[in-house]
This record gives sequence, structure tokens and C-alpha cells, in this order.
Amino acid sequence: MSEGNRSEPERTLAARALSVGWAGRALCEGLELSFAPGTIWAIAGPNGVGKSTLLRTLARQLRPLAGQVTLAGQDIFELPARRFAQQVAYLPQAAEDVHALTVLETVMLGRSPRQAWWSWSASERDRECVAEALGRTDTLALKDKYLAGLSGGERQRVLIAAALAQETDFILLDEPTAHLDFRHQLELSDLLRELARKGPGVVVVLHDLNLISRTADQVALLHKDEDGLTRLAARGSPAEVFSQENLRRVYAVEVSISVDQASGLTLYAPTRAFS
Amino acid sequence: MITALKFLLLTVLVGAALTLNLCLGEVSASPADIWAALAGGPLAGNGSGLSEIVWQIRLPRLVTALLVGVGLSVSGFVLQSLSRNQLADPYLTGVSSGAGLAVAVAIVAGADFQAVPLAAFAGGLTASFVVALMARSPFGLSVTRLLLSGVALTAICSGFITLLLINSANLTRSQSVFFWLAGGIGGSTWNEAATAAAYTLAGVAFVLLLSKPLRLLSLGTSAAASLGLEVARTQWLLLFAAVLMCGACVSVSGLVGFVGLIAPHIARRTFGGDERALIVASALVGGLLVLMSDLAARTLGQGQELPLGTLLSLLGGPFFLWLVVRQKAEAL
Repeated sequence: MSEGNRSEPERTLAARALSVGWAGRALCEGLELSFAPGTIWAIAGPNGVGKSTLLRTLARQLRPLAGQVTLAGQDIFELPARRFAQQVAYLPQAAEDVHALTVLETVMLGRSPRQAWWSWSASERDRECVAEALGRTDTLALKDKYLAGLSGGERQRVLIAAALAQETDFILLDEPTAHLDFRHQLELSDLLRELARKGPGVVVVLHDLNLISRTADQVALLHKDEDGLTRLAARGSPAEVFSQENLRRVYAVEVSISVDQASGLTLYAPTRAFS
Repeated sequence: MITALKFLLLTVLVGAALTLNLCLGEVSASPADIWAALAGGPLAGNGSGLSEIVWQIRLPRLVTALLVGVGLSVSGFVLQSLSRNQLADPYLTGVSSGAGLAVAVAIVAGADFQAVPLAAFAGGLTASFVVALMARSPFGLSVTRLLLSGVALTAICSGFITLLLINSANLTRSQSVFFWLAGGIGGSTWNEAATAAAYTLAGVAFVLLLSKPLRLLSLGTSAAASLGLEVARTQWLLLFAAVLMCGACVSVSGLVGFVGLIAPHIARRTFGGDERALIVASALVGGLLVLMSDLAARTLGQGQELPLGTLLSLLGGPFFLWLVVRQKAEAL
């Protein structure tokens, strides 16, 4: 069994002095982050700061250049892929190509980390989990349709259902709202909130400040310093992190911040970009 | 239910093709006579006519044809799934060109005829190894790069083969290289059948065992890894199986192209179900195509056999085109 570091709270996904990058070239340096179940974390920052690269590293898809990512105190790259997949689900950025599987088959694949690697048969528990995931993402009616025939919003919900069926402590999502219209963005935001309430920690890369502030409990705002390396600019609740000063420094834009009386939501409107 | 019917139909077709292959030829016989010869066992006729023909000529050739079709098709299916590219074909991995070059060198150098399958196998394996090394990437195997390298290697090997043929002083040897390159399984003995059987059956069984990981890989390496698959290791195992099957087939049949491309397509388009069903369907369709093409190859020509590869293209090509055109409404 895992011999976690005693000082580490259980069921925590954490980045320790983490440097990430491609082909030996560092993109982000010295990141300290810690994610717990039941909480939604957004990773935000301008294009090119390495949000997706960071998420890929947290998802055990890319080895860190320095530092480590730990799950319950254990280095994730020392865990077998299968064990890791039983605890962390990862949705890559929406892939363009669609494959020839039905919704039910796709969601059932989420169970594979808990099935024998060669097995095609589903246990009672597998079927329960899949049914529950389909229900919670409102995709039950689509179950016999092919993924290729779905709209962008439907497909995203199905992929989230597959991640849910994986029954993990954490779900990592890379820009799940890309290519979605307003309505579907809001629905996805509600879905993520509902998911986190029921247990798993959600770490999501998002661009839209308004969407982040209505979805996330916590934000990690990334910023590229003068030396070309990305560091953590701020972290905390969206209201704390998205201050005019922080946004000016990180995005080089002037942002007007207001509170909508009807909904109580904080609204962010970029008004001017600095040259 | 419909899938079961389709499988039944396909099995009947394969059975019919097997029967036709046994009955038809320079000496044609009724199914009843063939059955009698078969039932009598290989030694019953004491070397007499029909029994000899059935047991020593038609049966090994038919088994070889069936297995070459099965091996190339399943190999193609694996490569198409791994690369998520419908154009992938076992010959694009460089296996055929490596085998071709090795055979050309062996024949032109005057090597013993018995050594040809061995040279083909060694050449194919070497080529695919070179190509696979080039396809290594930090995220496992880049199958796109594998296919691109395969195409490049094919061009290089073809160049060398042409140079060899042009510069060879011995016309007879050049001609046998040509014949080998055209592909064919005429004169297959139980030796060839056994080689094809050993590698193909082992390969198909292995691929069936890895059919679930193959489905995960068809989602892309990133998604497969996030579902707990050891991506690189699985890719290598499947690639190895594909190359081994293809190499064994090339070594007994020469270059029989196209079947590895079209049989998996036909299987995917006409059969539903999971990867297990598609693998079996690819195998049966491939076997059927090669059986029918080989039958045509040895019966249509006047006194001389036609090249199997050519007939396969003529037979399979139009059918394949029809499938593509019929499905054009879907996003291809």
C-alpha cells in the first residue's frame, strides 16, 4: 500500500516546487499548489503561460522538469498508470476527431481502470456507475447515439460522464468550454459545481474570468515574468485574485469590475489593452 | 442479432471460397470426389491423381492463401487503429520494401531459392525495426511518424531494387525478382502453410487478447493514458504483432498489397460491435479476398498463372471504391 508522507493530508493532489515544460525547456517554474476533493480550482492566465502544460503534468502525461506532483504524498510518476487513473481523471482539450463509439461505450471506457486490462465484460458496479454518470450529466437519453453525431455541448457532457464513471478523487479538465456557446458554458459551469459538491476535486483550465468567478472556489493565476518563465501570480478566491491590479499586471488590460444586482455575480469587462 | 447473421453469411462465403478453391483448377472435381479424397487422408491415394492434387497442392495453397489474407488484414486493422488513420496499411510500415530489397539482393546474388522466404523475413523485420526506432517519441510511439518514415524507407528501398535490377547481368535472376515482387502463392507447400499458420494464428490470438487496450488506444494516446493504459508498452506490443504477421505473410507470398488496407475497411463498414468482432471480421474478409483472388489467379489465365497482387487490386479495388462512394455522405 502507499506509504504517504505523514504530514500530507490524505487525498490531496499537490505540486511541489514544480517546473514544467517541453523538451527540456522550462515554461513554468517553482509552482506550489495543493488541490483537495470537493473544491473547484481554476487555472487561469494569458495564452502561452503554460496552463495546459501544467495540467498535463498534473495528469501524469508529461514528466516535470523539476520538483514533483504528489497524490496523497506519493510521487505520481512512481504510481502505476492504472492506480493513478483510479484516482485522477483527465479530459484533454477537445480533440477534433471523433471516433466510432456510442455514448454508452464511451462512458463505459471510464470504467477500464477498474476492470481487468483484457476484459470486455462489465460488472454490476460498472453498470451502476455508468448509469449514475449518465444521469448526472443528463446524457441518458443519448446513450445509444454515436459520439460523432452529437453537438459540441453534448459531447463535452458525455466526456465528463466518462470521467465521472471513473470514480476518481480528482477530475482535471482542459478548457471544457472551448467552442461552446453561452448557454452551454453556463450549463457546464453548473455541472462542474454540482460534481464538486458530491466529492471529487475539480481542476479546470478556463479563460473567461466571468465563468471562473461563477464556477470556481479557488483560482491559480499564472503570469509570465520578464525572464520568460511562468510563476504563480496569485491564488485564492476569484474575488481576491481578480483584482484590477492583478489583472493589469498579468493580462496587461484595464478591467472594469462590477456587481450585477439581479444575480449577485461579479462581472469583469476588459475595457482597454495596454500597449 | 444482425451482426450474428452477417458473421454467419461471411463464414458461409469463406466456406464456399474454400470449397471452390479445392474443386476448381486444371483438374476440376466435384465436391463429392474432393471430399472422398480429403476423407481418405494424405496417404490413401498412394500418390494417385486427385488425392495427391488435393493434399499436396491445393490444400497447402488454400491454407496459405487464407492465412496470408488473415495476417495482412489483422495487421492492417491494428495499424489503422494505432495510427487512427484509415489509410494505414501494413506495407506502409516499410516491411514490404525491406523484404523486397533483401529478396532482390539474395536472388541477384544467386542465393538458393530456399533462402528467399528467410531473406524476406529478415529484411522486413529489419526495415520495420528501423522505422519503429524513428517513430519513438516522448509520449510513446508516434504512429504518424512511423507511417511517414515507412513511406520514405519504401521509396529508398524501391530505388535500390531498381538499381539492382538494372545493373544485374543475369536476366533470369532479374525476372525471378520481378515475379516475387508481383506477389503470389503458387507452389506453396505445407512448409509455407506452416510458417503462415504459426505467425498468423499467434498474431491474431495476441491481438485479440489486446483488443480492449487497442480500443483505448484508438481514442488517442492521451486519453488512453488517462484511462490507466501503459501506452508506449502496449503500442510496441501491438506493433510487434502487426509487423510479425505482415513479415511472415510477405515471406511466403511476396508482395500482396491492398488486402491489408481494404479488408479492415470493409469490416468496419459492414460490421458493428467491438474490436473483437472487428478483428475477426477483418480476418475473415481478408481471407475471403485472398482466396477468391488466388482462385482467379490460377484459373483465369490461359495456361499461365496471373499475379495474385494484380488480381486482388482488380477484384477488391472496385468494391472498395463502391464502399467509399456509398458512404460519402458521412464525414470521411
